[in-house]
Amino acid sequence: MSEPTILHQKINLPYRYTAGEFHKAFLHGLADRRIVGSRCPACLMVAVPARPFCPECSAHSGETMDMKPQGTLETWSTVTIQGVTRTYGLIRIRGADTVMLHIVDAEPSGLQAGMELVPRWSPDPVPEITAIAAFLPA
Amino acid sequence: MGRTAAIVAVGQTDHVARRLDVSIPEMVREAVDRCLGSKDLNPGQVDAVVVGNMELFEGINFPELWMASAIGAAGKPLFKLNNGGTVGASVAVAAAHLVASGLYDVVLGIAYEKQSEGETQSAITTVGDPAWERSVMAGAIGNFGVMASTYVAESGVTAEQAAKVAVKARRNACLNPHAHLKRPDITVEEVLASRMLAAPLRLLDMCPSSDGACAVVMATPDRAREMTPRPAWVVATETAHDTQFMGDSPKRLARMRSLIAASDSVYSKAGIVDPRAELDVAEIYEPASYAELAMYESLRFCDWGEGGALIDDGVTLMDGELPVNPSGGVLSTNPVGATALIRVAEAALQVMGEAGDHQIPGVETALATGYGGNAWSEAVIVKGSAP
Repeated sequence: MSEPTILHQKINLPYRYTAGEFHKAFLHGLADRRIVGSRCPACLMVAVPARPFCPECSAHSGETMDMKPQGTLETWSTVTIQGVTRTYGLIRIRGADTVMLHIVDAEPSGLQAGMELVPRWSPDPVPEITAIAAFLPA
Repeated sequence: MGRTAAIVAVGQTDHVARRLDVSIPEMVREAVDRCLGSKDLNPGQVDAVVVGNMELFEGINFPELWMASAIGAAGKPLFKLNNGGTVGASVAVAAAHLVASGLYDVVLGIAYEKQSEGETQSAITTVGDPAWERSVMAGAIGNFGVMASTYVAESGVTAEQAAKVAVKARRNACLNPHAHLKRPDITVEEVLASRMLAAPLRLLDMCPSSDGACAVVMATPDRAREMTPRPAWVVATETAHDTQFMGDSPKRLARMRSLIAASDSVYSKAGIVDPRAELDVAEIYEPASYAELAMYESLRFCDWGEGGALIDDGVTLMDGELPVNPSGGVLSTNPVGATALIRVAEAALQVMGEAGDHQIPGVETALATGYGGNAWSEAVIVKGSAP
């Protein structure tokens, strides 16, 4: 078979995303070192991060609420990519009915389901999820 | 189709250039709430959901997953479509088929686009073949320019005739609370003096870029009659595609064979012999002023080459024999993924007698079309009486 002809091209696909009221409240809360959730007025489910619609019953969320900046580790996995090892955990913020994904900065061998975690804030938090650099054992 | 399906409720956002107050799921929810709310329906009555848009436009993969909680779809059958500009009409056709097949009794169809959040022309360029066209094409408007110049050569249509379409659209839009471009004082001279984008297309010959969403509820005959006194019965649907390369069918805009195929099919299914006489209104997907005139011909509203004369004679004006796009059409409102569903929704509103200030009196039969990528066409006929 002769050499295949392969075209090497690239698509530039910039995009913007309007966060909306509830995600904005969550992101700006992070910049203030607060964790913001929302409560469903219909089924009372508490979701963190705050969101406009209940993940359980799809009702419009009511008000946002400030959560205690601590949580528990539900489950985790440790991944090594190109020599960099990171542990990703699903963390239940205290009082929340949902869990959120973030980085857990701890030796994997010391992790236990249900252990208490607290956020390590980045030194100069901006309204992005990375305002929390990682969660650490309390 | 086996059973018949009927549109019972329609909802739209107020389409604008930029919705900075809402996220995509929030914008879509607005259309869904308006749709269900218009007939006091609730999400619990919906058996399945069909959603469509142009995924590459906003750079979101799995858009239906992002908005599942917004549209009440979690735990329900949720079908995603993604087939270019036609997608909105495909959502309506798919929803009608899901009901008519007997699989579901009540189906919610949703289509949307938040064009302000992406780079439409970059995304559209991926339509082009990587070996032959992608590196040398000029986005959608360049394509439309080539199509329009072909049509001018074929039909002798003039820039003034095209400008009359542009004026009609923006004036009609003033009667539609959801329309984006409303220009009550627009004139043919203003269109002809607007900036040339891709000859012969000037700025005001082209559709805008909008943020918006549209939703419809499709139901079985029994459920439809429970939900509204005068549903819009979906009596015929068709979809037709063409081949990839622009150069393989150079007269695509002048004589768009997929539109001819789709419209001939729905006319035949609906028993329509003379569409100009038998249709009461049409909501067609006209991406540019020239395209509307060309589509008059493919849709058999007139003979070949007579598209320009139809607008000169006022046949397609609001008070004409066959009003085309009383909503203001695509030239006034274009959230791409939603655009073709808006055509079907507007046709349904006309049949249901719910079109408000842009209602055409006594509409019994309406045509809606969808268009995508210079190739794909869909056609839907809705009627006020059950078949």
